Amino acid sequence: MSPIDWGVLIVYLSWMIWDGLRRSKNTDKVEGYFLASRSLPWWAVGLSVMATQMSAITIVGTTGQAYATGLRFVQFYFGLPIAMVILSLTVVPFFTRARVYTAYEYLERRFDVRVRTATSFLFLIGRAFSLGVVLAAPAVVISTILNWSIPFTVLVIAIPMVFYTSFGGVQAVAWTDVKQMFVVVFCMAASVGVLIWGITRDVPLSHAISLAGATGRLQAVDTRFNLGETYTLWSGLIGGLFLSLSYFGCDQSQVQRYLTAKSIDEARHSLLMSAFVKIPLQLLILGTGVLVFLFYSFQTPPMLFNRAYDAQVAAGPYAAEYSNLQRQFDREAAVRTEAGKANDTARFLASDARLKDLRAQAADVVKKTTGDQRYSDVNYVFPTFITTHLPVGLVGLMIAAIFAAAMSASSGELSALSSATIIDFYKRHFVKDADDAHYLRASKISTAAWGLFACFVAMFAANQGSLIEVVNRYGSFFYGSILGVFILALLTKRATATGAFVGLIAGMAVVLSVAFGMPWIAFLWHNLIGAVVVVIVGMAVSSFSR
Amino acid sequence: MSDSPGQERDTPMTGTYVAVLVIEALIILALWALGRMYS
Repeated sequence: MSPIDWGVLIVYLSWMIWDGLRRSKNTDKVEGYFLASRSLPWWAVGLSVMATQMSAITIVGTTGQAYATGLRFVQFYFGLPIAMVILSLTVVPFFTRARVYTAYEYLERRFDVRVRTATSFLFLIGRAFSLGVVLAAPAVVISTILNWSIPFTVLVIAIPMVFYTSFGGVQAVAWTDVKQMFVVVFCMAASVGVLIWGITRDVPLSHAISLAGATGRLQAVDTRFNLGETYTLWSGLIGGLFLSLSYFGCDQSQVQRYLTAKSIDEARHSLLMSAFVKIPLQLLILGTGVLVFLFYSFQTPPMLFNRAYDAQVAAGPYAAEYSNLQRQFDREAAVRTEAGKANDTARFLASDARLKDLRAQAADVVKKTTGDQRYSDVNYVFPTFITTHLPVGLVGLMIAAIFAAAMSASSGELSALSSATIIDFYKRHFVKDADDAHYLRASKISTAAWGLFACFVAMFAANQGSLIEVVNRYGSFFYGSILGVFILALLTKRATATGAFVGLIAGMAVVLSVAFGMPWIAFLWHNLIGAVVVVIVGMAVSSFSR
Repeated sequence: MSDSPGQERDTPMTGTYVAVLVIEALIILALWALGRMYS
């Protein structure tokens, strides 16, 4: 990166810290710290909700995925708008009128302290580890791009974020999220502009799009009903609906966001903003990945985008094999470019298939040399484009956008962890009658402590690919079951505390059995299975325990 | 902090909900058509 790019990055990170600290002036009470005194406008809450979901891995991972497979991942979000409508009609007015601090607080009013504590505990465990992963995943990518060590990269992301979240509370989180969303969207749009400019130097855009279509990258909707296929229209609409209901309706990191809104109407508007914008935004990111594929179709791309092991491979026993693959790859890339320019679709596709095969062979050489069986370069495609093809200044801003996304995704989770810790555990079970200033101090300490914990998890998780997968899957183990508990609480009067508690345990046990006993069932369906089991078992046990 | 009447503001938004669902259906249809057009 040039000195100008470094300057942009440093100015941006400094601005985030300064702005976050500025917000701390308005957080002298616990309600101000965790809920912004229920005073935020809908558009700020809406942008904050979207920023929390848009992690750095969404930017680099999703574009990389679209580079390789196209737009189909968008189906994952098909259930979200429907979920937002259902939540606007049910949960939003309920939580806002109940004037709770956490979603789980309501479960004690409806059932008992057991159910509240169990659900809040599940949230804390899941979120604490996922927060570490949310920090670790971009740190691995950024550390390779900037040639930094992973611990140093984790700290560069985490220190400003923990700093402004600890001092400024949810106000700092929400207002920095707003700025970060603007930075991310601006940078993505600018990248799209540069990509289209680069592609149209060689071929007309319509011609390039038809090539992308020929490779199957524009096949966004898969109408087959196949439980084993992760992303289909049906898994997105049904499994995704239950995942979104659970995530936005029962996960404190999201519920806390809309509890900060000025009114029920403003909270609804904030969720409906996601309903309108989320799929187009995701298409922007996936479309960028497809454009990166087209861009590299008209010039020689790197054989592998993740260059972390270049020196090791060059000095290793398979160096000659790798060099040979590189020569074949360069020749074949030239053939593909020529076929693409000549609009010879059949030759383009044949050449593209050979390039894919050569890339797979090169990745195998890296794995054989280094022993790293999890080696993948999906997350490095877009960062490679950024650092080698964007103009000076925009590179720094784009790297800042990746930092921004990493910070905005984790700051919301950090604030939610702290609110559940203080409200559902510390105040409920340990120190029940202290004054507001005491709880405010405890909240700030709790935020900083969770931030520290997340840094440790991130440094450990960065070298444990399997751990990242386990943590990601963990969410789907309990999300559906917690949703089932909320369905029992909100939609039935007959459910009892014992029914809800037993239902929760049964739901998680069934989902775990399905996950390990029937691994061919895609994880999005776990959310539906968990919710249905909790409701059925909960109602059955309630009829005996009344 | 005391309750303010504004926080209870709860107006029906049926039109907005219908708009969300219609726009989503149109997006899915457009994406399906895009895939068919270029397959």
